[in-house]
Amino acid sequence: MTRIRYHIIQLEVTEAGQVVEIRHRLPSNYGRCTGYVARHVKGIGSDVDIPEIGLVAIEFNSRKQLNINDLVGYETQVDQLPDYQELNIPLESGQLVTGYYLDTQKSPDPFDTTKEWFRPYQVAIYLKCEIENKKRHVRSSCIHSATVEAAAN
Amino acid sequence: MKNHKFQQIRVRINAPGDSVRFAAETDKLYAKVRGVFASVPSDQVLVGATIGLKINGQDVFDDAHEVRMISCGNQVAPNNKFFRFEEHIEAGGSTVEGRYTDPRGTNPALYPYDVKLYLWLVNETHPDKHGEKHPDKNP
Repeated sequence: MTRIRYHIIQLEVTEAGQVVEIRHRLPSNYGRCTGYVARHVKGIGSDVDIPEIGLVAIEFNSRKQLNINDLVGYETQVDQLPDYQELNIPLESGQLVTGYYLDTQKSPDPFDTTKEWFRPYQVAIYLKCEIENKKRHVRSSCIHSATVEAAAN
Repeated sequence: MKNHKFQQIRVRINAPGDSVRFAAETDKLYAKVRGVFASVPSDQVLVGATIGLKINGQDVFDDAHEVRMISCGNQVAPNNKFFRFEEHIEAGGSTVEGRYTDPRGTNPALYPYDVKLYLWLVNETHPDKHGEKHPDKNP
């Protein structure tokens, strides 16, 4: 069985300057988060790269650890394979990944006060997680026989 | 026998928004899948395209995984184009199943097109055995 899972948190940004809340429960069998990358998926149609379209902050284990503060940019072309930011966060079972994404795009025309230039878009946050090795379950009959044997001795 | 093989899987996309299942089998003569690379004919169909992948019945990527995450430009050296798996993924005749979803592109002239998925199959079990280094771990 593979031990690495690429968990995807998808965010929809529908308004300029919007704050999108992140509140996501990871599967309980994930033991550790080892990598992170956030990317624009689709929606923005600019002909040039935009170094910053938004900010992302992520906390793990139900707000106990703030681990990621990052800028998200837009690339017109795919040049390199994505590099995952290395993390080493032990995950507590059933806890939340929380945080926010803030849209920081500026109008291409500085005198344009309307927000008609804005197009809704999607951002994806990829978390590389390791699945925890499950503990072996001992059948109750085995425990019982072992206990009886120990008591007899 | 050779230690490396680049096995190609082609998926035909006929119309915008198509979601196509594909299935194949890895070459029996190779032990491990070291990496994967996806090639599409235009950047316009790459943005928002997703791919799910299962090898030997094991989940490798969820269906919402972007194709861009396993793709890169022509200026990247051939062996560095592949997204490398960090764990052992069994080849040796394993079934490869997946689903490619087109992003509903706006340019109808691009259709139909073929997505080419390349699996990098190897025989040695350890990446550093023959002096090769993982690009991420040992730049």
